[in-house]
Amino acid sequence: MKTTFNANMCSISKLSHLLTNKSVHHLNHVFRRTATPALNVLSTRFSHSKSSDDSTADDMNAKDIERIFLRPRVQTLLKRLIGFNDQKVFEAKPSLISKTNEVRFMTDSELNLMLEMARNRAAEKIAMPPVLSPKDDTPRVLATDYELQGYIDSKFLLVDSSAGYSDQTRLIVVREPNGVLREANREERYRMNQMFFPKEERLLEEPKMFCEPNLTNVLDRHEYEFVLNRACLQYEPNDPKYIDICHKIYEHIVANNQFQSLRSTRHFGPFCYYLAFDSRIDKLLNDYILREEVSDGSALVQLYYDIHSSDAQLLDEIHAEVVSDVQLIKKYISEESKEKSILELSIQKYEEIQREKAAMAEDISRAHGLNA
Amino acid sequence: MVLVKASQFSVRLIRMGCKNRPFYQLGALPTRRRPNLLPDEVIGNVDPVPNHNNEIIACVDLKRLAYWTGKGVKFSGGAQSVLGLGGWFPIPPKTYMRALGSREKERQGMDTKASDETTEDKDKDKDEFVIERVISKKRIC
Repeated sequence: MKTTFNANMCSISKLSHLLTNKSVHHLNHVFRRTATPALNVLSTRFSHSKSSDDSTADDMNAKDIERIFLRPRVQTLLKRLIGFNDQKVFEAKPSLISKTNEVRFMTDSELNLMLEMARNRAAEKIAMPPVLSPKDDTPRVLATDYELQGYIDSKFLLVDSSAGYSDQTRLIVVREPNGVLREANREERYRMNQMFFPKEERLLEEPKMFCEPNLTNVLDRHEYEFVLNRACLQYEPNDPKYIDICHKIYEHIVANNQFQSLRSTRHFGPFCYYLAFDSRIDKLLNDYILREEVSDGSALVQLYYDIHSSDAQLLDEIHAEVVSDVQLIKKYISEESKEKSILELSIQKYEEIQREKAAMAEDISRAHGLNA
Repeated sequence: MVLVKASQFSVRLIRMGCKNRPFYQLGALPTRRRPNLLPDEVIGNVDPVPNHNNEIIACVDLKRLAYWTGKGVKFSGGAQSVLGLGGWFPIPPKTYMRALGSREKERQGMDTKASDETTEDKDKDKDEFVIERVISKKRIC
């Protein structure tokens, strides 16, 4: 580097009559320094220093969303709520590659191996996209060279294409026209990563499907899984746009009572978590009771209590599975629910139906002469 | 003053692209080779024309650049300018001088505009369908 800057020093002295004394002095001073900007840039990469956390109420809530989602108890409940309808999980999806069904003769051990492989694939299909809070986006300023103003009118982006860095840790810096050198913000980082290290089927600009007339059009056709899959593909889970789209979809489902559309898909877990976190499980609970799926209903109520309740005794009872499903749901309805009347009616109907079924079963067994 | 041998190897911008549409590769190659040959090693690329978001984008493999810098290669003026903007090198004096020059020019232009004060708004209203693009005469390298 010293060789090149010596040559430049000569040219400075020739043109120095064009400049004021102050700027020449400044330039000489610049070139007496060693490559400190480079070292700064390198050091910023190698020290992954995170910005200090401001503890405001919103931030605490944001951290809670992530923290509570990762609790093992919450995860097991969400997995239970998703369920596993193998017909739906392994449903044939529209695809450009046509597969023909294959019939094989296998031994028992081979069959068991195949079944285990199928279970692993199912686990992948059912794995929930993580629920995160939107990541804060304040790019760090690395250098300020205000003498650069007027050099260019556009932003200058430098992307580091060295191997061994992930999309999040890759060095992407922006030189603004006013001379400030800063790290890239989320949008720039996303675009540059997609430009130079593209992920398959991701678009550089926002897909038109997520813009207003098209999004309502697609949701009115109840194609929730399709939109959610596309959103998962296009955005990172901590992108505010992704979170916004997911919330819109969830609201649409609740408004249209289409709770069954996401069952046995990986999106049902985050959907239930969203409802439980906002204390809005009543409609979904009603749906469960009307379908006589009381065990799933109680799982939903358990999720609610796990997130919101600070009553240790209640939680112990629930975890020990001492409380029966109907009992727990009734407790929730009487104490916490907001649509009490509808739920009470539904649970009454359910209990009536169960009593009638039990009575009928008893009559049948008596008729068959099985009652001793 | 210390006499330092000029290096046999260079890292410089190699102009590719088409007529009136440059595109530069940043490459390492022997100094003596004629310009715009494909380099021995491509370290990165620079698109000097701003895109729809008014950004000039450069992609550089900084690890390899560090390697060549350590080898003591000769950097061309354009390469220095681009890497100086990116923060890898100190900003070369030509860049500062150009910036100063363009600031001076703007200041002079504003002075003459203030003295003339002619309005040409009618012409602007005619062209409704002109695609707005930042066509600046300022060159990055």
